[in-house]
Amino acid sequence: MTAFDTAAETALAESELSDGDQAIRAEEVSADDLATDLVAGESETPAEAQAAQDAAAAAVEAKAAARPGRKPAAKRPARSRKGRAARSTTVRETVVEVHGLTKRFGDVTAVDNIDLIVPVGSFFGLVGPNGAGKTTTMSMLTGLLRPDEGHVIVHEHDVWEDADAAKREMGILPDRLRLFDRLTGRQLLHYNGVLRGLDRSRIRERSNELIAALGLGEAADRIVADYSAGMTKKISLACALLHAPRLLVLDEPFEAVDPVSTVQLIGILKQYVAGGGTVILSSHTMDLVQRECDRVAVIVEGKVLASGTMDEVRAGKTLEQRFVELAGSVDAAEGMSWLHSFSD
Amino acid sequence: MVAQLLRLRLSQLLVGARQGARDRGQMLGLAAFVLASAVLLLLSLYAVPRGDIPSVGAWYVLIGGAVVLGALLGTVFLGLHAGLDPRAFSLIGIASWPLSLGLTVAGAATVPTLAVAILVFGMLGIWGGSAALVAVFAAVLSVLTVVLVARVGTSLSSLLRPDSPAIRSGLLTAAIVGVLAALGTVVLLRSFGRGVAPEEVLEAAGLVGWTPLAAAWAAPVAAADDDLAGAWLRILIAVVTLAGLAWLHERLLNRINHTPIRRIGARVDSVGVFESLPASGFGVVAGRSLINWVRDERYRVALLAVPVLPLLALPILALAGVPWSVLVLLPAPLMCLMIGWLPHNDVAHDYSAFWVHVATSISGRADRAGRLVPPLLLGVLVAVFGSLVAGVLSGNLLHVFTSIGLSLAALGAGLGLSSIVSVLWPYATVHPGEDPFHQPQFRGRAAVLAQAGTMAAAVALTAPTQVFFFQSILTEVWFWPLVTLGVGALTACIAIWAGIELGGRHFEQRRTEVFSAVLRG
Repeated sequence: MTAFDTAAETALAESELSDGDQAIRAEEVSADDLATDLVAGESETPAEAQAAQDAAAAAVEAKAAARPGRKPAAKRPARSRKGRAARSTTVRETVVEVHGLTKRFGDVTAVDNIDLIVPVGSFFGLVGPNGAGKTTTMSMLTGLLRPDEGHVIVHEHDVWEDADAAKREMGILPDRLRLFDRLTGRQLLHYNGVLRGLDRSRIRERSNELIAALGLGEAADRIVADYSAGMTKKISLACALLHAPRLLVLDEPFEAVDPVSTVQLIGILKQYVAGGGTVILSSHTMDLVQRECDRVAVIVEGKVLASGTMDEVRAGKTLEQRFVELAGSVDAAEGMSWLHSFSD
Repeated sequence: MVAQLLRLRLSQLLVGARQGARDRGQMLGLAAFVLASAVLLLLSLYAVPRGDIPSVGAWYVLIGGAVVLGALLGTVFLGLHAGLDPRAFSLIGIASWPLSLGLTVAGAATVPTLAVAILVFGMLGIWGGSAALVAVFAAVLSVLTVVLVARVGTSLSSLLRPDSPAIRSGLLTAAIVGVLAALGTVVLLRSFGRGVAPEEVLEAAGLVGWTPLAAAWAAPVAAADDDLAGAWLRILIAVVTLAGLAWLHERLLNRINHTPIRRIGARVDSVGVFESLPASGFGVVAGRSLINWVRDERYRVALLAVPVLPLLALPILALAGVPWSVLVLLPAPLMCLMIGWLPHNDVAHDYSAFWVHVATSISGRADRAGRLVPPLLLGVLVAVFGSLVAGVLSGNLLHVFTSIGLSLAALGAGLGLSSIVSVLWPYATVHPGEDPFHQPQFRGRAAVLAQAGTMAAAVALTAPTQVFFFQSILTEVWFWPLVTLGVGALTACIAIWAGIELGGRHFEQRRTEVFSAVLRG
């Protein structure tokens, strides 16, 4: 069997899986919303809500157990069960709170007084045109760039006051930052694992599973400098997942990744979310965000123009239409009349 | 085929000239420098009193041996080559004999080959009429041998290390040729001032002249000395050598054309060097640094700078009349000073990959200490073995300790300061994976401050050890060398400890700012 066959087969399996997962997640979300309503005192059938919640949770657990090769979900049944139990009694807790975040570079205000709330277990999309401040926001969120004003709380730890604790909760995939690319993929995983405080045998065990899950196979023993762009994203994601963080912050995770691998990566991320993890990703592929994310924030020129659940933000339109509306489209082709009269 | 490859080579040479005035000027400058070095060497050979053929001949043979050996080592280990990587032709399917011939002819069209030809043919005037036939024949063989040795070296390098890109730099070639030629000139002129060449030189030349390395170079010397039989015998050795090289070259090309690139990967499920290092922040940073020093061209090129300082300083000091007994004790400390200075911009070498250290809150001390492991290992090796050689040469074995003492102090001072400077003032450098010789255009004040400041401060920190170093040499009392060793080792320990502490503290408090500074470059 060739490598291509294997990849295609995995992708096929993944796409089936992700359909299933999507259904489950939808179910879970509705159960969650129901539970939220319940606390607000608007629902009159608490028993029903609890039952739905439990059913969703059980289905997710069963799914996770049925896929032993998939680490993030399979490894953390205890935490996710706890998280879900907590959620069924209180308002859905938040994993990231951003207040008044601001960053200026000289005269340019790259990020202007941004507030964001990301609930636990959400698949959060950050969309915006080029240069809108997505990467700057994510850098400040992950502690790579110091904000001028405002603060970021990740799982009750302030990223700038209580940095070590906050950083432990996060797995990061930055865009356009290099890796130590003279190491082989496996060595890079070891490097990150040790810096994240894992021991040797656990790193080896998890590395093997991640390498298999991401289809890195024999590439794992080649140096990362020789990887293609897509493979580099995959090994970066593996590094981010290795210490089983509560929160994944992924900057343009699907850029330069082929469609097959994208489906594969999304499958893994959904499973991670199903297991109680939270994903924040930035992208300018609106279709993908609309399809996969349950929450979204639109950033334009350093400001959050809309934020909330996907349905709230879309307001009955496609995300792309809504986005163009918010971003204020200029008819770029207007005025370029010479474009209509072709030269001979 | 031969004509096509030669044309390819010539257009490669012309491409450099077409790239614009700055590059053209640089290229012509380098070429002129290399050729001038050869002429200088030739002139200093001519400066010998006429008739002292054995002396001139001995030097000439040694130079020849050095040139051939240099061509081999330079191509195999540094990957210096004429831009004709044999692997580039493996997809075209040329039979290996025509390819071999073509690459050899095309490979001859280089500036260093021209420099060798100037030297070899220029010497025809010295050998005299009676030896003319042998001399011309030998001259042709000499040049051909150098060219073929370089091709064999290039093929070997391509076969053994397909992973590591060759370094194609006229600058490096010129630097090596220039330093060697300058050294040769200085040594020659000094030696001729005193008359005949020293006995050891004559003996060494006699021996080297019979080896394949310099047989062709020794033939005209023998002929000029009226030993015609010996001359033809050496010619025979040279011809056999050449035939052997041609055969080897063809075999290597054949091999390259029929072996796919196989990467020398780690064993499956192995993390290589990390396996034998502790699974701690210090351990992984040390492992990664070791890998960088071996696999990253930027570090390999930086290592070339290590012997440069003594190579430049010693001839000057020698001409200034510093006695031999002092001179021999200086190379090891000078090289250790360079090795200690090398990591002073280490964080900037990581460039944006440094984000991992910002995002994971690795301890500052682990980061600082881990990076010092490769230079520390290398420096201690140089200090010990360099000092052993120096002690033996100086004639007083106690001076082994004198030299180790100053070497350790210089190494430790350099490493300690580098630990602080690399987080305090990172400055723009070559990004990972780029040509190590293309330094950024503008580096600003931070670069000058970091480079010169680190070096000057390191020298200053060795002041106490220097006092005892000179005390040892001047008084020749038995205990001073031991005191030098003690003071040097203590200086090193304190400097490294303080560097790791202070650098580590700054790193932990300001890691985000350090990262931003590295990105800004």
